[in-house]
Amino acid sequence: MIHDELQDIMRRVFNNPDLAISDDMNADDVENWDSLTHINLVIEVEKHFETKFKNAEIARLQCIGDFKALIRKKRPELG
Amino acid sequence: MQSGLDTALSAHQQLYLNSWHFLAFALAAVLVMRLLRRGPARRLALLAFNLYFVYFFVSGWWSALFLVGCVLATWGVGELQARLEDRLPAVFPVLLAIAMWMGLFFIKDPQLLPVVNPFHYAPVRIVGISYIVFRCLQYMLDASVFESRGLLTLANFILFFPTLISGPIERYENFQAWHDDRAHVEDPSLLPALHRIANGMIKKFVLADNLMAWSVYEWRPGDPWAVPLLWLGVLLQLALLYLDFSGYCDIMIGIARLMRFKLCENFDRPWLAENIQDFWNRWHISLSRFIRDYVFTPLNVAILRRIPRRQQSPLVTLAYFFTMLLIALWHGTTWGFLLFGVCHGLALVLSQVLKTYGYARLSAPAQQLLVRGRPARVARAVLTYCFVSATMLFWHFGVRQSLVILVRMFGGS
Amino acid sequence: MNRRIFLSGLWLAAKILIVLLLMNSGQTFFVYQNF
Repeated sequence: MIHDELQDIMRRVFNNPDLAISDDMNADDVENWDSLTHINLVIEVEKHFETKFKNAEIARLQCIGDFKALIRKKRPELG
Repeated sequence: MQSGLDTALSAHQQLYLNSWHFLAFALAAVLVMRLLRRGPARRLALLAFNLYFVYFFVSGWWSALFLVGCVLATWGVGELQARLEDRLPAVFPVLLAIAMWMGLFFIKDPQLLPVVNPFHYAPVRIVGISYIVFRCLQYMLDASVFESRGLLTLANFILFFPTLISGPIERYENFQAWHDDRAHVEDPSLLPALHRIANGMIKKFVLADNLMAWSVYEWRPGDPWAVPLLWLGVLLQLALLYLDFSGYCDIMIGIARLMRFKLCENFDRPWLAENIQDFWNRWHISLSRFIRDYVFTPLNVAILRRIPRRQQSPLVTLAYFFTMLLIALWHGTTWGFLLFGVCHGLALVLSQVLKTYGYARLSAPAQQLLVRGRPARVARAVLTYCFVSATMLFWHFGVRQSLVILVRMFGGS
Repeated sequence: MNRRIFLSGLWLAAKILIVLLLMNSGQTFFVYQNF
């Protein structure tokens, strides 16, 4: 499930094992989520879901919902 | 005998924002854009207003032609990107970005590298060119992800009169949503927007323009200013720039709001900034975000994808520094601006290092005293303000004169 | 509601007056001008 896998990745990247994510959360809601860790997150997501994002797509990732939508777009078979 | 249009362009008649002329223009634009709620007439009317406005900020036929060329070239490259995207080499966007940045430096400074600088032989003078270049670059790089593209939308986006001469740097998709009738802001009352405009006018025309007299910009080498007045003059720079620039933004954001467009913000109480990173998140926000999205992030993504974990840290630090240098050079290509960039880059790196290795190692009470407590935060805000003010000297005075001023401020001569 | 709008309008008028009276009459241009 994309939601759970994304949550695991975010728990690792932001060093917060209890993090619970929702679609409308963004950098303001999560501690340690700044411009640099955002990039770490993107790279970890790329590695885990075996896909590559365009720079233009990365810049448009504002919230967790955006991440999920982009992952679904790149890997439609995951649903 | 020259035609009327010829004479007008070469005379470069100004359109000052504190004039009845501009007020009448803005009023007409707001009325027309509110009355024409949707459809091609609205978009063409906007183009007419934009063209009328830009006429006053373009000097000469060649510059005007160049501007038209920019719009068409941007459109062309966007179409190329969108249609061929996966068939273009991966390095294409990088080369494009580098070419645009070099183009920006060459246009703004015709004396830069005269041998390879085409604008040395055919100079272009357009007010707001730095912003225009960013709008074009943004469109060219991102065209493949836009839901739709339109030449009229692009032209209006590049020439949009509220943002033409000094930003804020708006994003194409936000503009497009409003332009193509897909998103309007409906305010229950016009009063907040009108107040916004009035606030901007007070900040800019009443406060900034009148307080200019005390700014250090009035100092000439040899003037025997008393040291406290020199301090005042130096510290006023940032306040005056804030009043002037944010005042302009307030006026334009207010006008855009009256046209039912929510233009992005550029300032968030910059006097609260406690370090350089915080400062640039509160000052000229649209610029910081643009550089972050189109320089910092792509650069770091490229680094972190290819370089193993251990070697990343110094490269990322370099990326921060390089980003800051670019921000500085975007403002101007002089040694003064370069020094400004170096200082801010070092301060940025220093604050990052302190955050990661310094503050975290302190005991809790020490943290409260030196980091979290109110006096410490005020002290840092004051220090940040003084630091930015001091580095701003390099903009206007060049390296040597700035150091002369700084030495005098601390009692030297 | 109407009272609030009225006061807001009055305050706006005051601001406009301030601008008209205290505005520096020189032809202003930007410090932040990016040509």
